Amino acid sequence: MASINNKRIEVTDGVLIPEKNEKTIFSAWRISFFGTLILLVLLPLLPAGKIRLFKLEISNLLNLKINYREIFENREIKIDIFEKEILNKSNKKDFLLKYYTKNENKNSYQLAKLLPNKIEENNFKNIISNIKDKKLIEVFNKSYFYNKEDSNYNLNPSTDFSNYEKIWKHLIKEKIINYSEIKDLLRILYSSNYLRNVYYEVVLFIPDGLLTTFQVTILAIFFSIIIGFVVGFARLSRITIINRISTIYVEIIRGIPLLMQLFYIYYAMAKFVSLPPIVSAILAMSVCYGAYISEIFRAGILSINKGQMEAALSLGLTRTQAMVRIILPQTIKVILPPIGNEFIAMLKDSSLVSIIAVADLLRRGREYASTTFYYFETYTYIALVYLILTLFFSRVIGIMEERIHKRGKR
Amino acid sequence: MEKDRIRIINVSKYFGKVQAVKNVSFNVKIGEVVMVIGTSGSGKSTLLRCINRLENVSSGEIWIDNDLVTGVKTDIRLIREEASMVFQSFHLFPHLTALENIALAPKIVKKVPEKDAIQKAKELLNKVGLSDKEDSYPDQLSGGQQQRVAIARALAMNPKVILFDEPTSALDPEMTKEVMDVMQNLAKDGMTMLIVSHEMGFAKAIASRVVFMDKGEVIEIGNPKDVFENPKEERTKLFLKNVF
Repeated sequence: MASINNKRIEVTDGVLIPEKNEKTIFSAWRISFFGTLILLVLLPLLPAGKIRLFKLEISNLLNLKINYREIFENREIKIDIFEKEILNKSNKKDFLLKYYTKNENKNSYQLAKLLPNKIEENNFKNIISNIKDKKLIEVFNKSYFYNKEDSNYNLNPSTDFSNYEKIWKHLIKEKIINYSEIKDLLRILYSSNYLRNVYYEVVLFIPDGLLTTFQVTILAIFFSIIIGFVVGFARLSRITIINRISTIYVEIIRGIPLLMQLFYIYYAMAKFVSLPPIVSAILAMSVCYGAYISEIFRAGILSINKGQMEAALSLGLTRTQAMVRIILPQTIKVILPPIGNEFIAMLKDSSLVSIIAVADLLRRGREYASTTFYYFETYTYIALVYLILTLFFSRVIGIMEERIHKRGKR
Repeated sequence: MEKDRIRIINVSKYFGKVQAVKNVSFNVKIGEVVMVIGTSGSGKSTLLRCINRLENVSSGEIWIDNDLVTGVKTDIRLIREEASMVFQSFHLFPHLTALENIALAPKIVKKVPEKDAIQKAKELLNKVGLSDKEDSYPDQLSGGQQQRVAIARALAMNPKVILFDEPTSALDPEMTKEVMDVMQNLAKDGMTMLIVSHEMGFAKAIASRVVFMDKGEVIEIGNPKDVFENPKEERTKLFLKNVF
């Protein structure tokens, strides 16, 4: 221990390591971690705003060009004109925005897409009591069924109204309701308090994606450590052919982007053997990261003083015994931080597998966003989920490191 | 009784084209303490490492009792069990406590039961005066303490010979003394020791013979008094003049 500028520093193998700042409640890590955590919890609990509703309509109009023509034939909206105008405009969104504000009433049917998958019991009763038309009530009752488990009304899958617009298509086609009735209903929906909170819906939508992300990451790190261990040793081998093969493997893999490797294993290799997406994903990531981790292993073993091996040999241990009992335990201490970093890098890079149809966190987010057009909210939330995971794991690795260093550091 | 423990016969060692050790021959008797001195790069350490087969000789023979160390078919491990080594920079195993450092080799190599190995290790730590440091890790010990643990570790294998490779040159004078005391006790107990060192006073105190090496060759062998006070060779004189 020496003292420079009143800051205590530790001298380890000739490297000056500034002592960590005194632990404060407001350390940078804590601010980012708990800030993220608060956002993650708070956002889904926020009350839903109408501004989001409006955005959605615009997006849906864009998305449903074909369907509304079918639905609104013989209706009062001049659909042809509308469509032509859309096609001629370079900025469709701007146009739609204006169009919508002008023809608010006429297009409000699009709000129908806001029919939620679930409605709370109380809200449901409230809606029903506000609808005057008996037929509409009937349809509404048919479309939803009461679920005892969560005491919510769920959209009935058996009527094939899985997509919101289909309800309205159905309602209109069967002439169960007319346009003015729709307007009535929409007004109720508009004013009632179950307007969606997108963050909340994202939370419900992504758990299986999160699970897949974990699955890919953990299996990939497991296999890549095995590959890294074997290849790392092979690179230290004195047998030329083993040394060369392993070196070539590392050079090739490190020279090709991971995304390219993913494509290669999933699409290109399909010519010979077609693997399920998730297997391809894990395989590609293991092979890729195995090369990087082998370098960490190699450097770790080389970083141990040659004298350690000599001391062990001079005591009569065999090379293998010395490796297992003396060199490797010390190597693990050296390689743990970089392996931890690889794990975190892997967690983030696992998002690449969404491209080969593995339904991971990002993929699920994309699926949600592309059907609802809530890109901002969805991707903000997904980014926060990734952030909290990496912050959490970097801390876990940090603590593990500290523990190991406390016990017999070198 | 004057039996030779180590016999070094015409040993040469090349590193590439550089000849580090040139036709060295001398013997070490049982219970004898032989000190090898010389300038750095004179091949003393290399010679020591050849005796433990950490390096292979290029030509010549080295015998420990009736075992040919340099023989291709000789079990190297057996040789190493007979000749332990103490290094300049200790090379204790940093992830093990002092006690574990000492007990490790007997447990693994000689398959001594855990209990006995620990018991023996405790005795040895006591012998080097560190019985209160059993559970300390190497980085918690001073240089002198580390070197004493290293000596205890070497003793744990019950070797016939201990080879010391500049055991005190990484230590300050105070620590040097504590290590030399331990070595002196070993000498009294009749341990055969071959020491590469620069500690002339130490050589006078415990060495039965001194070997002076220069540029890979043995220049002069004799008892410490003769070599230090009446060196015969010019090179020895020059060396001693530079050292003192």
